[in-house]
Amino acid sequence: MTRLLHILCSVLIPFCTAVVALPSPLAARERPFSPGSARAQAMGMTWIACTAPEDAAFFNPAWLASEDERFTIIRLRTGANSDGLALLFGQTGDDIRMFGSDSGAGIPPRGFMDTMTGFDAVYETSGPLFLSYKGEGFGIGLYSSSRGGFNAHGTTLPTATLEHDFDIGAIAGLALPITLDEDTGLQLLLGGTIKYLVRIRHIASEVPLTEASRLVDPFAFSGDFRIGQAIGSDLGITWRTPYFSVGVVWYDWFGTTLSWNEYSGDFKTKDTKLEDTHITPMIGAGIAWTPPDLFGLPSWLFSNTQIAIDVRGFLEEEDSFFKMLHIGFESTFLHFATIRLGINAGYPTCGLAFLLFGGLNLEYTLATEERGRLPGQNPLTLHTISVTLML
Amino acid sequence: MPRCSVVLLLLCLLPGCNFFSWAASVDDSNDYDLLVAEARAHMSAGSPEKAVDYFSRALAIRTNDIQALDGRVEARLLILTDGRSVYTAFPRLFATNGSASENLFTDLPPRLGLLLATSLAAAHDATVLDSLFSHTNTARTARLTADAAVANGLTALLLAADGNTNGIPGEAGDPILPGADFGIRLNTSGFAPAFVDTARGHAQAAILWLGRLAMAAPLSMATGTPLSAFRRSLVRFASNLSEVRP
Repeated sequence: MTRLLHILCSVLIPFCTAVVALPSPLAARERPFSPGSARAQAMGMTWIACTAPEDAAFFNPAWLASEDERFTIIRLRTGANSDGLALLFGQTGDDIRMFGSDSGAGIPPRGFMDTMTGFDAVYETSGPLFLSYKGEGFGIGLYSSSRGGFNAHGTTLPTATLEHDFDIGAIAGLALPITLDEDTGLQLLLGGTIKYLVRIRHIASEVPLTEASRLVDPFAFSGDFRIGQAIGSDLGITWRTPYFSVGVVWYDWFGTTLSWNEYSGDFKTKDTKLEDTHITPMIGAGIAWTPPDLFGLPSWLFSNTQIAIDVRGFLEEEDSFFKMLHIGFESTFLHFATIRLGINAGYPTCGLAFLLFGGLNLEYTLATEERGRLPGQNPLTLHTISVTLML
Repeated sequence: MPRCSVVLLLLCLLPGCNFFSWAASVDDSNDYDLLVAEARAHMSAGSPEKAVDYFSRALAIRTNDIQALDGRVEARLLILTDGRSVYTAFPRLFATNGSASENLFTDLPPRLGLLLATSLAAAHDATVLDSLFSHTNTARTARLTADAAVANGLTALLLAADGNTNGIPGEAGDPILPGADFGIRLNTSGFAPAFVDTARGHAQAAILWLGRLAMAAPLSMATGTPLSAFRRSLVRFASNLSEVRP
């Protein structure tokens, strides 16, 4: 017990000191870096106490101390709202390119304009770069992800804007398991990561909708963009028994700061002075229960059941506790299909995953996230498909 | 299993519902950012009327704020068009073959009253916004200019149709009815001419906006485009109004 107290003090005292010493994190707040996970999305964005091995380095470094090894070669994940799907896969993207290619049009056809009025596409991806190896007590990862939005404004002479972030992250972490009680299997897992992050940001200024093809066509890309670089670190601590686990993670604990440079469309550095931006440190806590069976059903029918609760965002300026609350459930049916349900800041989520050939994971998720500041204010529903190849 | 199916079905049907929305309200908030976020959320959800309310509350906190004014102009235009483009919502405004025997507006007077109030407010907002924001982005300038032109043009036409100045155009007692050819049909004589001058003032303002649009975005005002047709019609309408006498 004394040993445990020593460990806790040695971890918590620097945490608290750093919190007091931190500069105001609220100026120019950046979205945290994350490779994203269809599993977490389907489980209401819970991950702290129920982290999958391939995500341990990214989501809770303490889980790097667990016994299992996992080598993930690739993850391709694409998510979009209904307007985003129309842009990525539907007729809308083709229409924009077609009408945009005719620069003499002046005003787009009215039927197309009716479709585009209020058009608000959001899309996010993981990959194509995704490589992670989790050994026993350590892990490394390399990933790329992106998130963007395309929207149209105006009913008379509409304009379009595009914002797009492309992230590349490299992460390495170490973790240590400490057995506290061999009889009950109680273990303390401590872990930390250090990460190097690059964010490439393209914010297109408002352009006429008739010229939007150059925004959505990756081969006609032009315009200025910014590249921000940062070094960050996450710390995690988890107690676990065979059936329960409790975790606390401190993301970006020393305040990850992005330093920006601006480049022209032909990759020449511009002399623009840009202010640093910050990823706010965030503390999250999670609890997970792994029952031996689901409602007494045989384990060949339902297995690997987990119920998890996360509360994240303690250090952020949040307007509502409920926006920080995440609840998730998963259970595997016939050792083949995994059903996932959750509540993400009040919004129901669900997903289905199939593990094929022992290493190919196909996942679909329907999840809503909150874009506003209060629960229920501005929902964004994303359909996500994901393919992960693991060894 | 049936229970699971019901839950899955509900999840698919209700992805945008929030179990905790009861716990949050912006009704008594004086937080500018929160009010603007709420207004934007209503715009996204297809409720521009509510968006206008929240933008107005935000503007009560920060008078003449560009972001909120821009949002309110956009929301008011969406109210006018029922969330469509102006060309679909008001096809006769941009047509070149309107008949003198047909009314320019086919909506019932109560709806026209709402359109008049909204277009008047949008025209005012657009004028204030134009005086505030920097015109460095050509596309944005063109969008605002076009919206201002349509709002002023619509206001001119609706004001002309509201001769008894009760705020509801197109009533049986209103002395003037604009035709689909942008001509003037007199219902009654012996009216006060002030409303005609007001309507003509808005028509001329719309023509000026369209002139500015021709400089900012020449293609949109090229011959054969709906906005160039609208300009020609408004010039004719203003001329017709100047000849109206009680």
